[in-house]
Amino acid sequence: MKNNLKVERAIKNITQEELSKQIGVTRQAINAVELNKYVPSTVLSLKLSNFFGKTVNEIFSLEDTD
Amino acid sequence: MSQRKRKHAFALAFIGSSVLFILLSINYYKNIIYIILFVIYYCLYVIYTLHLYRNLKYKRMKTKFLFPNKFNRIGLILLCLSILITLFFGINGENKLLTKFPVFYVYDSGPFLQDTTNKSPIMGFKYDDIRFELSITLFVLGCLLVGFSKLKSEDEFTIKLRLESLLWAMYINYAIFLFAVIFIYGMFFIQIPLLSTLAFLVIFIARFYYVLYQSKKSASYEK
Repeated sequence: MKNNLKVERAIKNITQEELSKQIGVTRQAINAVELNKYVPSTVLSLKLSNFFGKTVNEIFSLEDTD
Repeated sequence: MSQRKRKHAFALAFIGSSVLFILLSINYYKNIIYIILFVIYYCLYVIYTLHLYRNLKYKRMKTKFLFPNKFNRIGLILLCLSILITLFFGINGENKLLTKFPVFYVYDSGPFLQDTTNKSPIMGFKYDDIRFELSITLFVLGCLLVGFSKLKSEDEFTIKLRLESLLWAMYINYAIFLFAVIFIYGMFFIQIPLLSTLAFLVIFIARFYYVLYQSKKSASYEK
């Protein structure tokens, strides 16, 4: 699964630390999602989509291997 | 639905251990207590793992079965105590307080699994060496507290790491155990099941904190 969390974060000009505090998860979780090491739960992805004001599909997308 | 599942798991655990208890007490099996403790231990392990999986869906993990964060330090102190006791008093040698301590036993098989006395082996008091009991108890409690107390910031990602480490520790532990079964012979083999039970906790803690450290390091590089 791909995501453009990093791009969204750059647009909002917010660090991983701040984002994780706003969302209520650890900083490692955000970092692992950006590095494609961790697929977030539906709750976390919905929270991210709420925070950035975009739909989940705009932030996360499937790959051929999924 | 999940409530019902948990009830099933508890019921299974209870029925399984009680059936084993009855069967083994009929046969007068020697190591009955160890087997029952083993069964209870694994039932609790399975129930705990199921519980962790159930909680993956919450935004912040609502863990009934994880200890509060401050227990981490208590666990570390217990671990240190256990190591100090083993180092100072050793396994052999005399010590007035610890080697002749009144203990209550549920089952006492006597040395070399032979009953030489007329005394009943079930339920009673006697004087015995408690250094081993003390250090093992402190070690296991310490490991449990260190491994299963909440981190300062606990969330779905750390839960995933914890679960993965449990699985990982299980595989590694049984690989070592099988290796020992196949390649180790003689009296030393008697120690292997005990060491394996303790090693499981140690491997789990080592792996969990290593992965946690790595993810923290990786997070601190990124801006």
